[in-house]
Amino acid sequence: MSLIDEILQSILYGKSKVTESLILQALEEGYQPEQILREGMVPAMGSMEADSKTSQMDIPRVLGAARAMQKGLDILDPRLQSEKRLFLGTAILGTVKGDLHEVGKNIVSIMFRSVGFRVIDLGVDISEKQFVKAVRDHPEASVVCVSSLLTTSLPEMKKIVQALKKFDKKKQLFVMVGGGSVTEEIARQMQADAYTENAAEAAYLARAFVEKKSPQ
Amino acid sequence: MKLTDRILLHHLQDHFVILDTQNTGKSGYLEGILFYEEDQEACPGWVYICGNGRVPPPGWETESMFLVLTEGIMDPEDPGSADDGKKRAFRCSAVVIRKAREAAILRILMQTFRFYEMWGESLDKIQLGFGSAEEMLKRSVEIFSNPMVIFRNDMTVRTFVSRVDLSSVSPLFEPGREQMEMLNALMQNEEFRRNRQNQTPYWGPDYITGFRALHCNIQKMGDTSYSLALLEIERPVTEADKDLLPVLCSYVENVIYGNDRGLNRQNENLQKTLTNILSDRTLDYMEASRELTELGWQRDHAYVCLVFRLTYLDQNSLPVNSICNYMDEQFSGCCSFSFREEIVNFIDLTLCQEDLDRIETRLKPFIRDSYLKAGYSRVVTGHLNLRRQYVQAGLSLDVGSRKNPYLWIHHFDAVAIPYILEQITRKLPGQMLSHEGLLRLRDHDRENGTQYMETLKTYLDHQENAVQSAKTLFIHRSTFLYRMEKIREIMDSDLEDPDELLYINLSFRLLEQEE
Ligand code: B12
Repeated sequence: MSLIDEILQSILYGKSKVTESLILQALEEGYQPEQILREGMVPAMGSMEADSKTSQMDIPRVLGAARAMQKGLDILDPRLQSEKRLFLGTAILGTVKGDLHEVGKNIVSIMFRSVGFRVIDLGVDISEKQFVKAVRDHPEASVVCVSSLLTTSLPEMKKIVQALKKFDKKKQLFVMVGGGSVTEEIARQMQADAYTENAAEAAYLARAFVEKKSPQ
Repeated sequence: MKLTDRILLHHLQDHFVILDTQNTGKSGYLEGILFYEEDQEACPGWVYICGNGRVPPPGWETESMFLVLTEGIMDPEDPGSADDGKKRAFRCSAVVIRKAREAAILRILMQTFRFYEMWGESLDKIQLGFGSAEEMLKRSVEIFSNPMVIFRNDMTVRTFVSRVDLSSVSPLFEPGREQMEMLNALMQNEEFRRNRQNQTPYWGPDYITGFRALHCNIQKMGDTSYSLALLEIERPVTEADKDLLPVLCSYVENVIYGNDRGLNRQNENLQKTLTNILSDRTLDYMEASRELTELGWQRDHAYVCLVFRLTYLDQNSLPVNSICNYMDEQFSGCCSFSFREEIVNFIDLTLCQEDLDRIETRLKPFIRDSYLKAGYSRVVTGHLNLRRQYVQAGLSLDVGSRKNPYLWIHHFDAVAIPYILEQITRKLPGQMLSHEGLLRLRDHDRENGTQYMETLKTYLDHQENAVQSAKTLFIHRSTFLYRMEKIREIMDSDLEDPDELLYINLSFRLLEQEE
């Protein structure tokens, strides 16, 4: 089994200490943090599916995997940050109300910071009011990222996007949506400014937006 | 005290050169020492010293024995038994020792038995004197030379003895967020839950805790509620340890179940008063309020109630204590206790000095990672509604989980309307309660394919604004007005009386609920 596969397995079985030491080993052996994340970690979470018969997830197991995943992210995080500390601006980030999934959102946070954003992470289960308040409290923010993993929380997401648009009369904000339950089509319908399927692309797109707005 | 081959071997190793071993670990616990004699029958459950290179003939031994043989048999130059010895496979555990006299072997074996005998005697004494589990662990330090911890089922520490600072070993030993995280990881680990059934020692999941520990379950009538763990910190855990730990365990079991006084929680008095408030309907409220005041919970303070429901299927492993302790530690002014299979938390928000928003934010990941479902009451000042707040929090959770099973955290605001509707339809179904005109309108729609119900609903939703309503329905304003005219006619109402409008609105909800 390759080291990357071993990392994936350790996450699947929630063996967080093993995940940590394997990631450290992989880094020592010269694997790139992006590769570890892309090939060993994200697919691990993605492969945790609901039982096809009962359509129930083994939640204790999923929680264990999410925990191991987070431990791994904590190790990779500092190694993914760019050395040349450029500062692109501030991004506000959160998972929508009713939704407690955070893994994807945390990866988005890491990716945004890696390209040079300062990230204000509001956490999970964030209402439209809390998003609007954050934007009001941080007039310097140029990007807002809203994450949603549950189809049932899409109406909340729509409310949030609309509230942000209503607040942002001068159209300064770049409102991005993503997460497992969102598609390009859904994003367009709720009039978000952008959607991407993964976190890295989201960060590049946000960077392009900021650079276009204020070319050096 | 009876000892196993592994324990004896461990001590023989310190004094002799071991040439060979067979079937180590097979002997079971042994009574004592005998010398092998050609003409005597084998006695199961004993150690046999076979001196001077003698080897019992094939078929002599039984499985539950331990043979200590000396070199002769393995010596190729000994023409008699050497080859036999080499070829001979024993049915029981056996060890071959280089160049040793019978007497020397006997001395070491006797010393070993004596050493553990004394240990057993002190443990007996502690037990008879109603001593504590801690004393037993202390007396066992010289045996194990490693930290020993008695864990509760939820992996919180009941008792420990250690020469090293355990908080430097793992966050598991230090109250706080990291500890809670690790406890959750353990509770949710399949292997960990399976281990609870083990009858023999097993290794705990170091891939979560970060340290190696040999556990032995402490059981009462087949149910495990504690485990005794030997942490591998000061020296490697040996094979002998694996046989000695169950011995200590059986002693500890006796004292724990003999005098377990349960949890010692500082909040006990608050807990008692609050439990009374929840359970005793005849309670003298003024008296309860006075008690609360004495405990620092004042009448002009604001309170919130939060109910947690545990979602674990395995009722035995409910981490109730650790959750209550965590809540009490994390939030000052919080009293958390288990009540009717749930965990009830009351928070004195004035004492807590954190606003509810912040408390909620901090609790979200905790609730999720502990796999709890939670319901909040509203915030109320004073003591008189504490019981009602508990009911409110429970309703948030009940109705919320039913209406939105995918949500794990529920607030009363979100369930108030569904709850009210549920309540008013307890005697009569919604249809029987609804506005008659509206029922006629529905029938008209069904018979004629009109969209009057939708039109009226839109009109009410837009605060009776015709322009907005027409826009939402994608119809011309005059079309809309015409429809409204027909609706008034069918319902035989001018749709102006506020009470009637409220009734119609309510009827819409009742009918929706029935669909
Ligand atoms: C882990 C997990 C959980 C964990 C979450 C733990 C945690 N700390 O986050 C727990 C156990 C709590 C959980 C609970 C539930 N879950 Co869940 N969960 C999952 C699981 C297995 C993985 C999700 C994940 O982390 N993916 C990995 C990350 C990296 O992917 P991602 O989030 O999509 O993020 C990537 C991109 O989408 C993007 N991205 C993410 N956010 C954003 C934002 C922006 C702006 C952009 C541009 C991009 C972007 O970047 C990321 C990296 O590239 C999925 C199944 C699956 N295989 O996906 C189910 C899943 C999401 N859960 C599901 C369900 C149903 C539930 C529950 C309702 C189950 C229940 N019976 O109670 C509860 C809901 C609780 C709640 N109210 O939130 C369903 C959702 C179905 C649906 N479409 O509505 C899924 C799909 C499983 C299934 N097939 O049934 N779950």
